[in-house]
Amino acid sequence: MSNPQCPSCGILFEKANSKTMPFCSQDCRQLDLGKWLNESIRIPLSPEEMAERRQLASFEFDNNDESIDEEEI
Amino acid sequence: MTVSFLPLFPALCQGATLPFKNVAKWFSTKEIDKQPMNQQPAPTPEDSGEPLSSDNGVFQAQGNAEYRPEDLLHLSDLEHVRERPSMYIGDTTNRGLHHLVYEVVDNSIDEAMAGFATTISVTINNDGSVTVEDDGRGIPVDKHTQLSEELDREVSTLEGVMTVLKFGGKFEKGAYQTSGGLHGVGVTVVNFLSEWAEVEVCRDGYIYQQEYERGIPQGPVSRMGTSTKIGTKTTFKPDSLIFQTTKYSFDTLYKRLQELAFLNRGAKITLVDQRTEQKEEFYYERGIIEFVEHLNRASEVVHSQPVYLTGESEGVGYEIALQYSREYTENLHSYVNNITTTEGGTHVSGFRSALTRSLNSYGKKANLFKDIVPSGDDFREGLTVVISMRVPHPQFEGQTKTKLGNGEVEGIVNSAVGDFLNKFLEENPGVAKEMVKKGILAAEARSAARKARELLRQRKGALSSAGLPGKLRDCSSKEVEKCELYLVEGDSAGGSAEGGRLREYQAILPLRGKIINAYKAREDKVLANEEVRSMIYAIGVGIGEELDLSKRRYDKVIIMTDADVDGSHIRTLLLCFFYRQMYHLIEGGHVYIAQPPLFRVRKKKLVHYVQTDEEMKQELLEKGQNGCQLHTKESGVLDEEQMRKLSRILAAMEEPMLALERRGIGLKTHAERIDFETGRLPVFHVFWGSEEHWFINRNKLDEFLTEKKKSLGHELAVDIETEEITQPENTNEGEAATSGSAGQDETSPEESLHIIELHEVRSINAGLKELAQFGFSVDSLLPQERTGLQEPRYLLTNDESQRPLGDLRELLTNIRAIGEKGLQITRFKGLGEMNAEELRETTLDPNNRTLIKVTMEDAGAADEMFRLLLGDKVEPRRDFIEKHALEVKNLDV
Repeated sequence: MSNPQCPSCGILFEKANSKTMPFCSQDCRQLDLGKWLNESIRIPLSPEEMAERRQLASFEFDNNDESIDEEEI
Repeated sequence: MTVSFLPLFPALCQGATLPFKNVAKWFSTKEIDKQPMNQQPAPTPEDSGEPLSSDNGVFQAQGNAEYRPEDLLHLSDLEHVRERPSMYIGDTTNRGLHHLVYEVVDNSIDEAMAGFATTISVTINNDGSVTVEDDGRGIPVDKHTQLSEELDREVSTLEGVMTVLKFGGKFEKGAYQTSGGLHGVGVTVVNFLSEWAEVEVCRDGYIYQQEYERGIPQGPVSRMGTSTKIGTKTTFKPDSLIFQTTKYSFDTLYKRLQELAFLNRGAKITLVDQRTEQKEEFYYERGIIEFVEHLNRASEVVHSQPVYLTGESEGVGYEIALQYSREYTENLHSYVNNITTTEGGTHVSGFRSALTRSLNSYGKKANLFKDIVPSGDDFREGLTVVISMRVPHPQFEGQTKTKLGNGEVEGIVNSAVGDFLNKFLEENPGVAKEMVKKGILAAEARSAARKARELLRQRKGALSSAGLPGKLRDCSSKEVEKCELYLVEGDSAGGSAEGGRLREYQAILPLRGKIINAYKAREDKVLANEEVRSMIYAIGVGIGEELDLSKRRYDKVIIMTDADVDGSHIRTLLLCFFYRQMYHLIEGGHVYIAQPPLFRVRKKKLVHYVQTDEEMKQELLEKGQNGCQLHTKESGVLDEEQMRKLSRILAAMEEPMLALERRGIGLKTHAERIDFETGRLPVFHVFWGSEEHWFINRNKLDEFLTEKKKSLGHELAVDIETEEITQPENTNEGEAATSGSAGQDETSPEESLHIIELHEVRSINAGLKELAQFGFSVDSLLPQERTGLQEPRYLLTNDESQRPLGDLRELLTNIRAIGEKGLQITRFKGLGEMNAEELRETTLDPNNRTLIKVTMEDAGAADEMFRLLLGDKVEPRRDFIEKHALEVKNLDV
């Protein structure tokens, strides 16, 4: 199997050597945990999703009551 | 016999420094040359008159045939050492026991370092004794004037070395510049603490020997015979009256001897254990550089070559090798005169401050620091360094006397390391940057770890009194092996899941993605900090280095998300999180993905669920074909069985044809490019400057390229694109075939070559071949322009209906439409649309549900996606969005 690549720093390292899998080092693991807790590991929304969300937002804004009714049905 | 050592003690101390000044240089070459064995030293009154060179020129103790304890000059030394061994060798445990060997080896190392010995061998003998042999000059055996005077008999230097404390070359700078030995007590103490000992010296063509019992010589030094060898061989059996254990460990000796071999470049040290026939040889030409490499052998290194400096200043010698690895800790080994200085001292502090200063000043100059300037601690992370000092008069301090106290050393090391590093970093910017970056990384990690700790600590509000997140609906059982945690997307689905779960064993934790505004008009989805913490607490295994699988609160962690883009995003985020921060949870096979159904199919009163689009399509196709026939112009009427074959072929072509169309290439347009000879559509689309070419296979493409190469007279810069969706940068969206050449003119039009490979056409070609067997050509797939009241090309019939088809691509859709008859199909938009009962039946109940165990590869793929996404490159992000846009389209099919 090929050597794993550290998710933080991107170097290739030997799996057998790392006690901090899947990271090459404790530093890299900590950096990553920090990112999760800082909410900086993100997935970009696609343009469609963004459009959908905007539509939904304006719809909810205009017909707030109706949308709640619909959900209940 | 009892002699109190106390009254004599002052004399001993005095004796250690004053009376033996003249004999202290017995190892110095000059002395040896001046006073070779065969030349008689200046006559003294005590001289027996018997020249040493005479045939029986062996020392004879005057008037004493047998040695008795009384013959020992410093009897008090022996008493003292045996009564207080810890004062001399630290302790009488295993550590002290092994220390005896090191004391003897240190003498040999001194010979090696002075350039007289090359090989040192250590043997653990079958009887538990140890032999240390070197090929150095051999301890002199000539008469020692001062000792002889004191004892009133002829005493050799050798006997002095073996029986008089603090006797010997080590205590005068003249013999050795510096020398090793922890307590500087040497072989005398070894002898004193041994049941018996024997020393053999080969020099000047003879072998000399003396034996001792518990430190007392058993006779004078005697000449045994001739030998061409030179060197000293010491054998001793540690005294079981002194030591708690007398069993030597191969591994312990291995470690120290290897260390000595590293520290004393060029010395060859062998270790043999006769008891087990284990053998090892240590020889390091590059000394401590190899030591550093050895220490880093299991680590990922930041720079391949260790940095090495050596020199001498004010009589203090230094030798330093260092290398950064990706490890988290500092790995520092410091020595003074071969002695480990575990508590550090002035040499270490001098080195550290110089390292920090140099790296920081380089980092500033090279403009590498942005937010954080690393501290000394940060630069020590991942540092592997060996510092080996030669200090003439080392002062050891500290609890265990392993801390160098010489103040002058700090400045010497500091300025030497500083000067060297400043120059080195300037000359090796590549290595310098890596080192500084490692420090920055450490500083960032430190700050991230601090933040992480703080965030994880803020338990208030989020957690119940039991330390569990408030949102968690825990199960009642505490049998971990049976318990499951469902991570459910969305609060409403969480509600259904809570109602439908098996309360005893199934816990529910609702999660949702959080949308945050990135810069400009960009929006991103994340796992909220709150959610991450809830998960960590609920799962219970902890995180990172404290991860402990045995503390898990559930045997299965099951991710249950909607079958839409949002759901796939959350699933991907969760998988990535588990992979990175709870690696062993996945490794242990504890993470699963639930497969909630996508469709509910109701036929009268019967209800069943279908999990994926493919399965639904397949089901409808199977059902719809029952009793159908297809009337065709080409091949007449196909019965049900033939039609099933046909629809399988068409089903396999369905997705590839859509893929081609997503590129903006219509099937109709592409069909015009068919190769009539083979009936195949082109797979390669080639832009050559403003020209455009299509090729049906690689052979044809290669022919073209070879021809171009010939006409150009040099290699072509080929730019092959195999990605399914991405368009070349310089072509517009839409029909690649016509717009491709537009941007090509910008860069040397004649030579610009761009190749697009249309993978999906391979599948289409394979399908076309199959279709040909039914007598259908590619035309059968293309809609025909209607020219009035023609009969339909194809007619799909069954008992109930007739369906005219314009082309074969419509066949599947129509069969499925037939299959849908009598069924009430509901597509779940999300988990929330299922009620508790449905959710239980399909996704929660262990008897009916389908769970997919997450493999390392699955999770690794999620991780890789984020690595690309979070990287500096723009393309991955764009590609990702495009790919997911595609998934949305797929889902709507």
